[in-house]
Amino acid sequence: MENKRSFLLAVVLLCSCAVLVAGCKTTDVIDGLGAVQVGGFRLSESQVGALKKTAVALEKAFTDITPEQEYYVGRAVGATLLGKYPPRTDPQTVQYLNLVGQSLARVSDMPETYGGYHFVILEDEGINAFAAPGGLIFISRGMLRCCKDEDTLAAVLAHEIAHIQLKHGLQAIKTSRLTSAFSIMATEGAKQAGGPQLSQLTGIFEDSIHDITATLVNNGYSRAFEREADVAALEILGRAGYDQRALVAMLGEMKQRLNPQGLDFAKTHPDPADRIADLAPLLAAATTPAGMAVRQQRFKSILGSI
Amino acid sequence: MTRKILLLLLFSLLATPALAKQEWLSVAVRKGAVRVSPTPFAKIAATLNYGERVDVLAEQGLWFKVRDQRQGREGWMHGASLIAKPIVLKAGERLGAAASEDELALGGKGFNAQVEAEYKARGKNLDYAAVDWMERIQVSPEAMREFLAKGGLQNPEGGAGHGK
Repeated sequence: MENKRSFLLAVVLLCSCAVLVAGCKTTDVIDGLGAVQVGGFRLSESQVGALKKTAVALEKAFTDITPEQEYYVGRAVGATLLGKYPPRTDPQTVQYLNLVGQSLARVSDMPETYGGYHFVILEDEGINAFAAPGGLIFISRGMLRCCKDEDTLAAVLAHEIAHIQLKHGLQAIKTSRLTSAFSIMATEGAKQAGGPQLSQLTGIFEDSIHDITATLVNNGYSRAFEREADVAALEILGRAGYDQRALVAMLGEMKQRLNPQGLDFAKTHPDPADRIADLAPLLAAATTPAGMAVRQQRFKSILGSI
Repeated sequence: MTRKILLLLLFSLLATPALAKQEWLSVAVRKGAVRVSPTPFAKIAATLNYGERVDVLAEQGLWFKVRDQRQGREGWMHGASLIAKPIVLKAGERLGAAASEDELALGGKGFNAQVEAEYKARGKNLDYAAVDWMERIQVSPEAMREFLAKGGLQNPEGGAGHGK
């Protein structure tokens, strides 16, 4: 009886851990477990086997998407967004935006991705910014107007980098789709994907991309995810040497400009006032960093008239 | 009592970082930067391809000091560019040890170029040409260094930002 209860407890624990701890290798833990005796209680081989099966199934969630697969997901999300809004292509603007973006991405906890980070401005008057998995980041002209200087622009980009680092986009994919995709991959074994399997996988891919774009463009992430991204953005801004308070300044400007009925951030993001209130306690010790004037100047000369 | 011990045991095991256990790691990004020091803007000593393997010599925070198995070049790579699994590029074309089904799943299976081509053929209003253009946007290390220095941002050697 005690064994049974302990076994159940172990299963519950493993389930919750596998869900909570992104990327943790539950199967490795269980490999260790079989050999360990705890207070006269020992898992039998079949119990270890059963645990392993559960853990393997649980591991096949979004954390098991490889950087290469994340890259193809991101490209498809990017192709959808760019099919909707054309990008701004003048070289000086593109270069400047990417310098600001790279200075932030490089100090994030996910500085490298399969295809790298790339940033563009979208010809869209709404207040929008999107991050596609893998490092493609989009900021609308309407959002740029909420940025009065380089530091506030950096705040917007840092928030989007944070969504990528925290894999929020991938988490918008329904778990059932990934489970199906992984089972198709497992059954094909060493064979090349093709025929009905390719068609099935493409169907799942299509639905997964729809999950992400619907979240980015229509429904928005949860307030918890936005808060997580705001907190990570502060960290990134601080490491890069930007003013952390620029995030709050940008949100204040956004609050002024947002049309509450709008289909942009007004619909997909929590009220800027709520986000400002959440961030306030974290900024008590923030100071003004050096170089503000130079950064403001170059921002004005390149993006001032956008 | 048993439960408590089991709980502690499970959590202590789960707390071990997955990457740290393995002696070698695979490069999980298209161009893996090997830097001369474990800092974000340090000079790039070498660039490794997707799937190449490196031996781990030391760790510092999220950085790994590595030696590449093919040419023996040494330097620091960020953990985000590495994965603790073998990557098999195509079925039958592997880099080293025997490949299991699990390993093959990493080798360009699943959501890959083939799936993308099929998706593109089915899709409407997808602008993949614009995505390709976007991916070609690069900033040179020189431009980056100048941008950081002039803007009073993180210094080029990669230490803490000096704008304090």
